[in-house]
Amino acid sequence: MDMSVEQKGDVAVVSVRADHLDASVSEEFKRELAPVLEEHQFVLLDMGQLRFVDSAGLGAILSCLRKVSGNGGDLKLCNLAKPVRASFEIARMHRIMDILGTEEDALRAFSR
Amino acid sequence: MKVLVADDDAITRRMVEGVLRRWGYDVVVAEDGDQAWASLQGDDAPQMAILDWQMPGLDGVEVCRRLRAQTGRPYVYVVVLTSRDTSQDLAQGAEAGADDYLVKPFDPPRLKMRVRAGLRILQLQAELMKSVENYKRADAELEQARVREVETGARIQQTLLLGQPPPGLFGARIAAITSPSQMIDGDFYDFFVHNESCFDVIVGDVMGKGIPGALIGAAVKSHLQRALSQLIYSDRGSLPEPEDIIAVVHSDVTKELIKLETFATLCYARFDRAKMKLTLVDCGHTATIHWQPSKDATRLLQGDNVPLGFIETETYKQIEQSFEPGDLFFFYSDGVTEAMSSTGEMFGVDRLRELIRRGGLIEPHKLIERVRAAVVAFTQSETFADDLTCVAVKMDEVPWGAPLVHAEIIVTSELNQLQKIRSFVSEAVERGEGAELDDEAHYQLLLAVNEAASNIVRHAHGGRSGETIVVSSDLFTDRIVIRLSHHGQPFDPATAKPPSFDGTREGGFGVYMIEQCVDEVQYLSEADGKNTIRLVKRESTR
Repeated sequence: MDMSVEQKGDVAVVSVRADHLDASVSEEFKRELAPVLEEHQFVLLDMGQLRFVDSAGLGAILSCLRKVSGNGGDLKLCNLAKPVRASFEIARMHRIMDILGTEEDALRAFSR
Repeated sequence: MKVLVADDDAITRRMVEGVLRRWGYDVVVAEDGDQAWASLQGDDAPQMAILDWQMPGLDGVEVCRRLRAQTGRPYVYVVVLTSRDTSQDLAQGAEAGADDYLVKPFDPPRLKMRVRAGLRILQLQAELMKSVENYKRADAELEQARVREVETGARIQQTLLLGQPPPGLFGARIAAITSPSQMIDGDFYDFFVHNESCFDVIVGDVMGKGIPGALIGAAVKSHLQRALSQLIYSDRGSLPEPEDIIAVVHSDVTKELIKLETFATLCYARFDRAKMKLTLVDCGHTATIHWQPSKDATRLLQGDNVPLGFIETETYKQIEQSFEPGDLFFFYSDGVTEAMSSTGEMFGVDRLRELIRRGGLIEPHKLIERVRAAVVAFTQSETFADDLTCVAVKMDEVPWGAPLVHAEIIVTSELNQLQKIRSFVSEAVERGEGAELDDEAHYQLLLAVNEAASNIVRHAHGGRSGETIVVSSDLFTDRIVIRLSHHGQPFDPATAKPPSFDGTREGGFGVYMIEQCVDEVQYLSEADGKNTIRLVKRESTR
């Protein structure tokens, strides 16, 4: 699964370069993100390219959040397309995840 | 007690005043009739008046007459003083409403006796008034309690006892109203939905209104449900015929209804849209009106059975009637057809048939409102002499069963097939034939199908790849149906752990999300070990 990592201040911004995050790629997503989560306390997932996220995808993001929180860090999400946001809402995950509009909004939220 | 002494003769006045005071009475005096009248009209007026007959201004008899003509004031006991002891005078005093009289001159003991008699009468009267008040208050409280009880009963009946027409039935729309004559009524209806193509409509009318009528209606309904579940259970899940259901209810309730000296008419109608057939048991109910738009005609469906509670030996028989798309069936209580105009004419079934023939094309809830309005206009009364109930069942104009478009793909039990399945569903949605889903609904359907497929791939074959899964889409005018079939292990949603929304567990969201995303989800075990998840997404009616 293609993703790029860019350091901006304290925050590692991870852009997910995929159209969907479903059960077929959720394990791969977790595996590839694992080293980033180990190296960085603060991680921002840019979901801008995603058009579909299923329960396995939500579960993968949730496991990332738990890993980062366990290290005393934080994980936030930004740039969610409308349907992707709907997935979070249907599973009521928007209540426990920090979901922000743009990357700027998210970086500002990290610095507070 | 306060006593008025009115006499223009100062000597008599003082004498009477003096003895009354000595006996402990509170005395007010008047020197003429006008003063006496004013004193009697004031606040805290005397309860007893000793009036001289002949006085300047109003005389004693006139004061008395005026007192008696007044309403809304406490009773005043009147003793008239006269020097003329003739029976003609006596009659005149009595006619003016005087209670007693004394002939002048009189001695104090005589006066004492008369005043005490008056006092006793006043006391008795006060006690009587008090108990009448008490009775009235108790009566009003009782009436209030009764009204409250009936209101509560009506609410219970409307919310809990009357079955509501099932919304979103495939291929049929149902509407129902009941307007009770006494707030709570003996008319009842209920609906049993058996499966996608089959449902029952029950309309009944109990002889007798009010709470007893409603209770019997509720009892008959509960017996219907009991009979239905009992027969389904004893026949290992197959749907019992309406006449068999009624036979069980009949054997359960008729003896009791006869003892209670009441009966219930009932119409039990089963609609089978797969066979386009209506099966009807008519227990002495009003004839069902069947409107056929293809013939622009109405016909009456009526069996020849008697109401429940008539005779124990009755054998209930069902009748059958085929129908076509667009047909309408109208059930009603005799409160509609027997509604009476001010000239004593009955509304009648022909008038109702004509209303339905002219209004058969409109939506059922509008049609029954139109019927109700027609009955109101006919009787010129918003309150009905009898309970008024209507149930309209309208078949959709488009034939059911066959979808507009059917498509299917075969995939293998691998997670990398999920995207292919989603594309297949999107193609069906975007085809634009049949139900139209907006972006949000489209995504919800994708998500539901994805979760269902993901579950099948991961669990149905013990995680084995290469097994076959068939995904099909059926487009109807109002809905899209997606079926996912496989020959692996069936899935029991009851065993799925509920998701934890606090983030403590990653799994368990799939089943929950499916339920959130589609209007209907069924896990079916079909013939030859085939298991199917059936998802229905309906076009939004917003």
